[in-house]
Amino acid sequence: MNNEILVDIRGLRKYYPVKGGVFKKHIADVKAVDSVDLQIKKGECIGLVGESGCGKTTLGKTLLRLHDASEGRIYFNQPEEKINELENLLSNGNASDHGEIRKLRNELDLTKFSGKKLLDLRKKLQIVFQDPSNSLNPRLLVKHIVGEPIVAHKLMKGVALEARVLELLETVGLGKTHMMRYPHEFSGGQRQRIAIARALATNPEFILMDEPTSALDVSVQAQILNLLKDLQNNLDLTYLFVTHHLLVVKYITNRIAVMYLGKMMEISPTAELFKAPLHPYTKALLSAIPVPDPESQVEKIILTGDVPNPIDPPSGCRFHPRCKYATNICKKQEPELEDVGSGRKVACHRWKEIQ
Amino acid sequence: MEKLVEAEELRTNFYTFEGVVKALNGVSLVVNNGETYGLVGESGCGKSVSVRSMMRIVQAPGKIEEGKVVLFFNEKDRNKGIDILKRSEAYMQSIRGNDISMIFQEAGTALNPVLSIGFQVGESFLLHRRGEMIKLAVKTLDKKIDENSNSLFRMWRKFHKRLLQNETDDLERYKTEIVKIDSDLYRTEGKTDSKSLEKHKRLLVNRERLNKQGLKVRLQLKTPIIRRYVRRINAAVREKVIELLTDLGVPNPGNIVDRYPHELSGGMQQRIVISIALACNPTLLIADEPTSNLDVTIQAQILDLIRQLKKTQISSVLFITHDLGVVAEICDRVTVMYAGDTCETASVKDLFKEPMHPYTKGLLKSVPKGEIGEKLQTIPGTVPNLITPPSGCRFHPRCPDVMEICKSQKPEMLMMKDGHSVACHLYRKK
Repeated sequence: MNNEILVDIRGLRKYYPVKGGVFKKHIADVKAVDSVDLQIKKGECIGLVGESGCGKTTLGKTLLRLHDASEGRIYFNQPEEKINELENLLSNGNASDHGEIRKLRNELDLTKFSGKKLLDLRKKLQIVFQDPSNSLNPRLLVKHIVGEPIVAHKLMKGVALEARVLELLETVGLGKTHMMRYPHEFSGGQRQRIAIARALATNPEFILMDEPTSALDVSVQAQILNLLKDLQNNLDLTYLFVTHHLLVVKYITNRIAVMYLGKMMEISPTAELFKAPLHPYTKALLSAIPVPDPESQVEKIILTGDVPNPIDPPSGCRFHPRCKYATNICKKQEPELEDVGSGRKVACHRWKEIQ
Repeated sequence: MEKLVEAEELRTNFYTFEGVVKALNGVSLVVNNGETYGLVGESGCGKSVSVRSMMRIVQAPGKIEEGKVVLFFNEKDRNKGIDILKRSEAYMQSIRGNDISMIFQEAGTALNPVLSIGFQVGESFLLHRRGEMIKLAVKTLDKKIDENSNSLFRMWRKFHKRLLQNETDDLERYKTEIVKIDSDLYRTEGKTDSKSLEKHKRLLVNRERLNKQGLKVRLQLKTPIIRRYVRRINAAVREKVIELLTDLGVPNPGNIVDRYPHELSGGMQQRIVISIALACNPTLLIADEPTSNLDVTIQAQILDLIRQLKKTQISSVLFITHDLGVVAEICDRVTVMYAGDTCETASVKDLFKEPMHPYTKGLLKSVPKGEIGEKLQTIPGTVPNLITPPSGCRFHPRCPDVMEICKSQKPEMLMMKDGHSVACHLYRKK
């Protein structure tokens, strides 16, 4: 792993409009992702954790252009100087730079891509979905499912295609006998292998893993996790691993980003995060994991209540109604995601005091 | 420790078009009084089917072929059990939700979307605790009669009180009659001479025929305007429901009772399902993966709630899960299941410290424990198809220590040491 940045997300927002009244007037927004910054380095596996409804899947899908962003920029594999130039223009530019900004964004920012450029991008960004029984077409043969991305991008045909599909199936631990079958003939773990083979078909650089093991049993989950780890090493892939299972994240990722109600709470290398979580939300999340050891004496922090409504998030720090360290400043002022050294970032007013 | 429920050699099959699915292959388990008992295994291993068989709610193509489920609920005589697989459906209905109740997986689908929360929680009060509810209604009526001096109102209320009294009398009659028949049934049960058999059959018919409500009550429940007195019972039930929800830590229960399931979050729905199960203070609570679809923080809340209830209200919990972390946290004793067989039963500490069955060992190794950089060990292969299960020990095709005997002979449950038993040929005495 090097320090080259592959994906650079700046100030990303995704709002879903809520409409109401007789004329379906726009009355509010569901703030699914609200101003998120995240850098993903080449060759790393970054985990994105949080409770359901915190916007982790939305962030991932916006990154892949499966959803359109409301605001913000996403740079995928772009030269750093050009990104800086554009960012400078955006922050200090005046009206005369408008044309220049537009030109640069169309060139660099993947949220503005279209046509041929978008099609090329799709080859490099792939996704593995949560539940393999829903993400595979029940009426297609496995060889057609796995070959579909190749055919869609007109990369190969005929015998070459067949050979490529077989090769892909072999990389995920399936074989020639599985090519002429339908998805329903496979077990959950095998189906997820097929979904992974499909994601690998176009030689992507980046794969979004949207809870790939949450529908599987433990023994199968271990097989899939090992497979993903091996693939990453062999094919030099970058993963964004979305999950709510923290032990899985600990096993597979290098860095972890913790989200809550559409905001980044903490970004930190995995080992440090588990050793000493900085944000009170991360602390609660870690202590809530059931440890498979009956003699562990971890003190539980039990959060009260549910995640608030993202249409009308709490003022100030979004976590303050459930946080036991909350003071007045937390209610009024929203904390910035500040860099605290050794590659860690945290968004909390009081992180120093509560250690 | 005293036994509370014992299942012996349960065998349940599902008759599907593809063939007979042998879901349970002689499952035996014992839940003791006052413990939290865990049932672990991968999906499709028969965890849910075994508890459903124990509650006798296996659905249509499924059939309980043989076995026994013995309840030891009798306070006075602990040793005398009742085999509920032999009892009538009416008897089962009086037990379900009353003595044994169940929390189902996926609270969202367990609740009825078209009925309000208050109705769904109150249903078990109306079914199993009608007498108490009527008493409560009478009490509030008495208060109102004292307060109000308007003679017309007084008359109306006194009339309602009378109707409620009718119902109470009727319930009393039903109770005494049913107890009498049941004790007679118990006496004739198991006897083989023709006279006893005849009597047994007659008693069963009588039991089915016995109406819960007498003619008078049936009439007053059906006549318009007069039947409005039922609202007084419903008001009492509503109060009781609010009380129950407050106990379970549901915020703003007065508002929640009038809402519908889709308006609540997943954690809150699960709390409602738990409150339905707890309504009648059951002796045994069966929790079928109550937290598997919830977030970790909400899961921690729910587990904490069950642990608290265990201290205060219910005596035993049968907890089904596939998450070994949850098992370590909440259970006292665990049984590991694989493909319809029980592999190993032990106390939680023993199971995690020194697992004996090869499957348990493999399962424990494949759980990510959070060592960074560790390589997870896996169990090769997949769970077998239960229409054509492997011969002998059902785990043998995936077992690392497989021997010749495993392929032909089903291993028996061997008692290794106090409370730790395992079904594996490896541990057979030479």
